[in-house]
Amino acid sequence: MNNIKNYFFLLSALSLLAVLLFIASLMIGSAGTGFSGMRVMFDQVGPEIFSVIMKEIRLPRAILGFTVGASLGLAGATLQGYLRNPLAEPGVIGVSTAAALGAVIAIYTGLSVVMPLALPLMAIGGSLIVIFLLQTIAGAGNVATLILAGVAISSLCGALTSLALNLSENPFASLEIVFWLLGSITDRSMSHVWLSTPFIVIGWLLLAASSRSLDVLSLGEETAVSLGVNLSRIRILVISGTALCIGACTAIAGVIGFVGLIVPHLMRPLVGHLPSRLLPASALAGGSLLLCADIMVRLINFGTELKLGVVTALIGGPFFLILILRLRVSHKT
Amino acid sequence: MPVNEKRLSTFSRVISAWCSGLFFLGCATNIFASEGPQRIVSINVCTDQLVALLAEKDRIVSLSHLSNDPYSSWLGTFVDGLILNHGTAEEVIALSPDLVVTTSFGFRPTISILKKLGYPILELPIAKNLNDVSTSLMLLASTIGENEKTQAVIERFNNEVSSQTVSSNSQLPLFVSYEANGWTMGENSLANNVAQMAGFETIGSRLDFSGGLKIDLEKLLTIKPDLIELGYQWSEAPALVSQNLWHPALQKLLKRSTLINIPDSLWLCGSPKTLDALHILQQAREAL
Repeated sequence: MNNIKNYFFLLSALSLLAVLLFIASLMIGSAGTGFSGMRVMFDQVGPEIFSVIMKEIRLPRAILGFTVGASLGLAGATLQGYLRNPLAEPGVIGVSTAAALGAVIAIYTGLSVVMPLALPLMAIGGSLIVIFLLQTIAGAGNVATLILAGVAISSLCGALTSLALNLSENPFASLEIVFWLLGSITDRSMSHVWLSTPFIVIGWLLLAASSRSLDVLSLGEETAVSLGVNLSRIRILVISGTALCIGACTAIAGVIGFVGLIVPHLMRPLVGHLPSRLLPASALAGGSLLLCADIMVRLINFGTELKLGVVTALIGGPFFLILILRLRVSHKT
Repeated sequence: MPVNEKRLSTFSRVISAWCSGLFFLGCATNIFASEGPQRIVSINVCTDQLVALLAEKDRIVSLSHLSNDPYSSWLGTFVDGLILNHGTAEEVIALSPDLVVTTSFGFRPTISILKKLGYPILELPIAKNLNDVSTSLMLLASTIGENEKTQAVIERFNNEVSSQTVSSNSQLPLFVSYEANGWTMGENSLANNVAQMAGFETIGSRLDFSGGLKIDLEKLLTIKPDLIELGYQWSEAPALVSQNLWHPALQKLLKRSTLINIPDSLWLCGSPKTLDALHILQQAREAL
C-alpha cells in the first residue's frame, strides 16, 4: 500500500518537474530571458511581436521538448523490457537513424512539399523496418548481437543519410547532415507540432497497452506464454508503438541519442523493475530531461547554438560506458 | 595607394607600348594574336567573373564548375564551349594553363601543388567593398595584359563607384540580409558595405559584429528590420533551409517589413555587377 503511495508521489513530483521545466523553457531565448529580460523584450518589440515570439517560436519548442523527450524515454524503457536488454535504446540500435533516413528521403526528394504527411510517415516506415529487422536478426535476450546489429544498421543509415544529402542540388543540404545526426528543436513551428503529435500520442497509447504484458514477459517467454500472454500481440504493440513515437519525433527533431538509455536506468531504482511502473515514470522523466537539455543548449553560449544531440551525448556517452562496466562486473561475479 | 597606382600606370604604358609593337608582328605570324597569357584557367567562381569580363574568350581555357550555376554566378551562356573544372590539381595540370587565377580563399592544396610545379598563379583578394573590386580588376588586367577592353571595363566601374554619394542621415532604416540557416553578414563584408552605400543601417553595425553570424528568428524579430532580403528559396531542391524560411513567425514579421529580392549572384562575389545590387537597394531605400 505504502509502495503504491510512494509511486504516485514520485509520478506527481515528476509531473511537477516537467511543468516547471516547460515554463522555464518558455522563458528562455535570445530575445530575452527570465522575468526582467522578457519585460525588456516586451517594451522593445511591442505586444504583437511579443506574442508571435511566445506563440510561434517558444511554445512549439517547449511542446516538442516534452513530447520528443517523453517518447524517447518511453520507447527506451519499453525496448529494454521487451528485448530484456539493458542497453536497448532507439538511438543505439539504429531505430532513430533509420527514421532520419526516411525523413531525409521525404524532404529532399520534395515529397514532403507535395504531401506534408509524407514526412512523419516515411520516418515511421524507416524505424518500422529496422525494428523488424533487429527482432529477426537478434531476437530477445542476446545483448551483444542486438547491439552489434544495431550499430551496423545505425552506421549504414547514417551513411545513406549523408549520401542523400550530398546528392541534393541544394548547396545547404550537406550542412543539414549535422541536424539529422545530432538533432535540434530550434525554430520549429506549431505546424511541426500538429504534424507529429497525433502519431506520437497513438504511439504512447500502443506502448502503454503493452506494459501489463511486459510485466509478465519479464519472467521469461515460456512462463509468459503459459500465463496466457499473446506474444505476437505484444510484438505488434511494441514495434508499431516505438516506430510511431520515434519516427514522428525524429522527422521533426532529428536523431537525439541516449535519452532513452539513461532515463529508464535512472528511474528503475526509484520505481522497481516492473515495466508497467517504469513506463509512465520514464516518459515523464524523459520529457523533463530533454526540456532540461534544450534549456542548456540555449544558456551555454559558444557564439553558435549547440545541437541538442551534443548535450544528450555528453551526458549519455559516459553513462553508457559506466553501464557497460557495471554489466561486466555483474557477469564476473 | 597613389604610389602603387602610379607604378601600375607606368607599367601599363610600358606594356602597351611593347604590345603595340608586337601587334604588327602578331598580324604577320598569327602566333601572338594578343599579348599575355593565352591559356587562362580560373578555379574560383569569383575570379571566373572577373576573368570573363577582362580577357578575350579565346584566351580562356577553363572556368570553375560554378560559373554556369545561376545561383552563384551571372555568367550564364558565356561559359558555353569552355571546359568547367572542379579546382583539383590534376584537372588544372591537364589543361596546361599559362595562368591560373583564384582567390586567396580555398583550394590551398591545389595551389601549393601548382606553385611547386611552377605554374603562374594569380591570387586575387576577396572583395569586402567596391574598392577591393577595383583593385582586383586592375591586378588581373596588369597580369593578363592591359588593352582597350580592360581599360574600358575598369574605367567605367571606377567612375560609377566614385559617383556614388553616401547618405549621412542620422536616422537610417535597418537592412538585414537573412540567408539560409539564419546566417547574416556583418561589418567588413561586401553585403554590409554595399547596403551602407545605399543609405542603410546594417545589422553588422546594429549588433556590432564582423564576418558571418547566425541569428535565430527571435533575435531577428526583436531588431525589427525595415528592409529584409531572404536567400534563394531553392524550391526545386528542397531542404530544411527552404522550410525554415516559411516559418509562421517570419511570415508575420514580413507583414511589417518590406521584402526585397537581390539575386545572390550579384553580390556573392564582388564584380562590376555588384553595382546592380547597389541600385536595387537604392531604389528600395527611396521607396521606403
